[in-house]
Amino acid sequence: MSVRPPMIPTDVFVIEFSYFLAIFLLSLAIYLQTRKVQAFTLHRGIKYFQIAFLSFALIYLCRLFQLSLQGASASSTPNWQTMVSQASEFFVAFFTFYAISNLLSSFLWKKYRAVTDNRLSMISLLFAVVVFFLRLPIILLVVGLAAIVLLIVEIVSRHNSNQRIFSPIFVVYLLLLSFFLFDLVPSIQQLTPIPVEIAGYVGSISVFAYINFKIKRVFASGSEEEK
Amino acid sequence: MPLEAKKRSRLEVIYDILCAVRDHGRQIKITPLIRYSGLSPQSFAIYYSKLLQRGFLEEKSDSDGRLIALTEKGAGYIREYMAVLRFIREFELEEI
Repeated sequence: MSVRPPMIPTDVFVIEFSYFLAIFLLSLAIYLQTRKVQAFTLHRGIKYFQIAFLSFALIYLCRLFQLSLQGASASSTPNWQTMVSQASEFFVAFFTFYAISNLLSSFLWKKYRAVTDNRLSMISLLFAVVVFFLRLPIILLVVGLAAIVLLIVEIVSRHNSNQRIFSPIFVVYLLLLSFFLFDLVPSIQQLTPIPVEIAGYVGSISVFAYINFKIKRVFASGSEEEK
Repeated sequence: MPLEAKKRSRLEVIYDILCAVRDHGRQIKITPLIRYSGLSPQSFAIYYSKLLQRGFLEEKSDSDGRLIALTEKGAGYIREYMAVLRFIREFELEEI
């Protein structure tokens, strides 16, 4: 979603560019690190997890692109710029729904057999079309909040049903979704002062960096055991 | 190491067979291996021929007869499978 008017101030441009680039690289790193495991097992949960982070990477790539267009010099053709910016907005909306639905599916796929790759794609496309053509970014917020509620229900249900110890990774997922929504939905962001926005960016980067670190640790501990 | 009766995935069956060999000093006779695998002899034969083809296991002979040995490739499979299990557990992605 484009949240800034054209020709944004240089300091804001630098902050947002650095943030988008960081999240893009961290998400891409998560995708690449899990590629080998997915190829080895063809495990559905890993596949959804992987697609979710690939989608996050694509969202921030589109946003980098949009931001670059906004920061571009006045010599760019306005019509061309508008068209590309709108296409990016559509892709951001689509990949947002796709990322959220895949992240939820990564740990719910066994519980809800109705979850299939095609359904996730179709539902995400439908939501993206509605958000884009009806100009209703609030739907992003509603779906995101619904995802957070679903996640909390799942945490409680797992904790109650089979004496499983509460997994801290769910807190990471919750934080990830919360920062992501805070950052993405224009109606929230426009009301937020810049320092709070920057704090949100730092929190978001920390969550993505932590997931990267956790994946590295999981794979490294195997090598250490072997030694 | 008798195995549970729950339905196992193909990857899990392979892992269990390879672990059975590893846990017996990386060499084992065929009859106990069939028992440890928890498979019928027919099913075991299918897995066994695939594991030989893929180089995870190899056949050796000694004075007592035929032995099945774990190769480095087979040991690598065990390591990778354990990494996958850890990843699935850490990220709550449900079991294989």
